Amino acid sequence: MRHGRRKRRRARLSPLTVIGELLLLGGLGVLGYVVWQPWHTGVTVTAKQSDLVAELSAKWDAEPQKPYDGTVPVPEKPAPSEVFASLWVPSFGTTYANQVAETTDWWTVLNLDDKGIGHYETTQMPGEPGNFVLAGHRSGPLINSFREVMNLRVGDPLFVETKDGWYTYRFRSIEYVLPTETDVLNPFPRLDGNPGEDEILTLTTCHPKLAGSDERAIAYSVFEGFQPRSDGPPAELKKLNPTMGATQAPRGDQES
Amino acid sequence: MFSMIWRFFPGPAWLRVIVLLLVAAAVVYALITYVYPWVALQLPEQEVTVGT
Repeated sequence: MRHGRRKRRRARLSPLTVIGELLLLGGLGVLGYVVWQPWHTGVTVTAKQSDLVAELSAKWDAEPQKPYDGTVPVPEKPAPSEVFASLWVPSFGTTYANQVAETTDWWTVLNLDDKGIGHYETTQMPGEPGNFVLAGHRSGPLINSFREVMNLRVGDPLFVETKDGWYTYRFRSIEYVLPTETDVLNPFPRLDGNPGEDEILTLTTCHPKLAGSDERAIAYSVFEGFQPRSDGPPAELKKLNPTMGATQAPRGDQES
Repeated sequence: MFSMIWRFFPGPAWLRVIVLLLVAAAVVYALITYVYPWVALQLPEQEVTVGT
């Protein structure tokens, strides 16, 4: 036999090889998570919220409307964890829309990717004098409703949709405070005393972004006007939001 | 370990490559569907409210 079957000799599998290969796989798994998390919160959850908000809009559209008599309606006090509004902020992304639920409870509102924004139950509602204060995550693995809070520029519109219609707010200023500074929740933020005529929308979220939460970012907006549901969404939102008829999203440096 | 996996599947080399790619795709799918969402729940969330 000229070409005898040579038995291939295999080196014995060393435990070090196995450990090394497991470490390689583990590293790939962790790398995969690092890629997955922003994709999940930025694409999947954001799209889910847009769908939920659109569904809720359609549901409210189908409900019978009270005739609008010129006074801005104030939503009834919702039950804890009940979704009672949607927040539309073109500055957070032209198609951005996110549901708003009552209370700022950790595991029934803020951490759920079908809610994500909570209303401090001690603060006022849209349409009444005072402060309508919302909280949401800015980073983290579950939902990042207020991730782009730093994108807000003075004069940017924020829209709160309820079953009655659309409340338009205009961004005024942002500040960074310590978590103990609860006077941002006052009827007029930072001032004591009785509420005046001003209607404020305040967003609270963590700061710095992606680096712990030793501070809070607080964004203030001022109420501008109300539009009943029968008049449809505000023209400005339609112009900015491509899902509502805008054919091209405005550039960041463009005057609206 | 990689060599054991390679020997585990039968057939010619090109078939093994295809099968291993399918296995890898299945593993990635399982990670995204089951493992990563579970890991996300274990990681600490950051406080976003004032006065808590």
